[in-house]
Amino acid sequence: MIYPRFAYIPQPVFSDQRDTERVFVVARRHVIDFLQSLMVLISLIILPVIFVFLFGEAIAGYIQSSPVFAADIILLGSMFYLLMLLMVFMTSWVGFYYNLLVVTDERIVEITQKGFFSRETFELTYDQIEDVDYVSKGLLATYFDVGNIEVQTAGPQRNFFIKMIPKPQVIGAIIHDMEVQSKDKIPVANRMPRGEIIGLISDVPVVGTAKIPPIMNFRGGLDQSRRKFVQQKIQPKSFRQKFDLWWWTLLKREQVIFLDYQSHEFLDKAGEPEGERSGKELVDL
Amino acid sequence: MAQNLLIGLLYMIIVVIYAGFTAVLFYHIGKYSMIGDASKRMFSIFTMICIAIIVITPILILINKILS
Repeated sequence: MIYPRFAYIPQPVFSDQRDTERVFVVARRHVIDFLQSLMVLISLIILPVIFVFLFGEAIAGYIQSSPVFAADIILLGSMFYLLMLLMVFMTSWVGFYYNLLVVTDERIVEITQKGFFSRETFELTYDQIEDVDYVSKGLLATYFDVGNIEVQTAGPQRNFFIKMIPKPQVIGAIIHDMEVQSKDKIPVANRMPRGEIIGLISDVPVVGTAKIPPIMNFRGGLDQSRRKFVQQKIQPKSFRQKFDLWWWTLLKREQVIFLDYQSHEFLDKAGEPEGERSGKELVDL
Repeated sequence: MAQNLLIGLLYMIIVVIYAGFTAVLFYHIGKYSMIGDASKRMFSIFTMICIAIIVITPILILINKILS
């Protein structure tokens, strides 16, 4: 298959990332897993309408007895109710959005967030992995390409189970590939998924043509690079880049990130001073 | 007068609850959000909607008092 030459470097960097660590997968649970919370929220929005419908006359009678004060209380009550709904929504959204699966060239990291004050990080190195399975069951899961991934461990470590993750076969293949390479004693810096898709960043497949593309690797000075990277987001500039992006998106019906040979040069400059190897070089593709 | 004081007090309590929650959320997002993720966008949308509600409510209360 011929890939377009357009290069686009993904931005996310997870909080515990090491300076030399390349990240291939950053995946969150699919949004359909959040539908349950969303349905509850929608029900809570509809609830006051039902309440007014049922007890409208009683409320009207109370308002007539002390109209100004009652109207003020109703306004305040509505304000409180709406704010509470938004707060509940944000709390459940944080619980959903901050659950993360990260696959790097060194390890798999699972970050589990429960509310605001409970955060668990569980990591697994590839030599601990025994087997990788993925299951995609049901109508919604098939339609949205969502499934569960189970990584079985050899030692006393607990198994790794992530549910409702997008593109489970892609992630499963990448983990399996990394595990094989680790067991083949391939050095960490040379490990690279061998499939067509070499990464999955926020549900977006990454297709690479370089031998070792620096996916989410800033090679030292991570914090400095982060700041610079945020300020300079790259966009396709030339007509060719825009065209490549357009036809690929049209063809696959999904957004795809491409890496090309130019990004490979970034790795070759590893010996240069840190200031010259900042995020700007990544941006100036 | 007592009724107005009660309304004002209730309003302040609600605003303080909201402010506390937003502070926790702000800290959390500042600490754990990643480059390119939707956290900050969600936070700004949430804050804008909440501030709109908080600002509009006293205006409506004032209009209610003026009209009556």
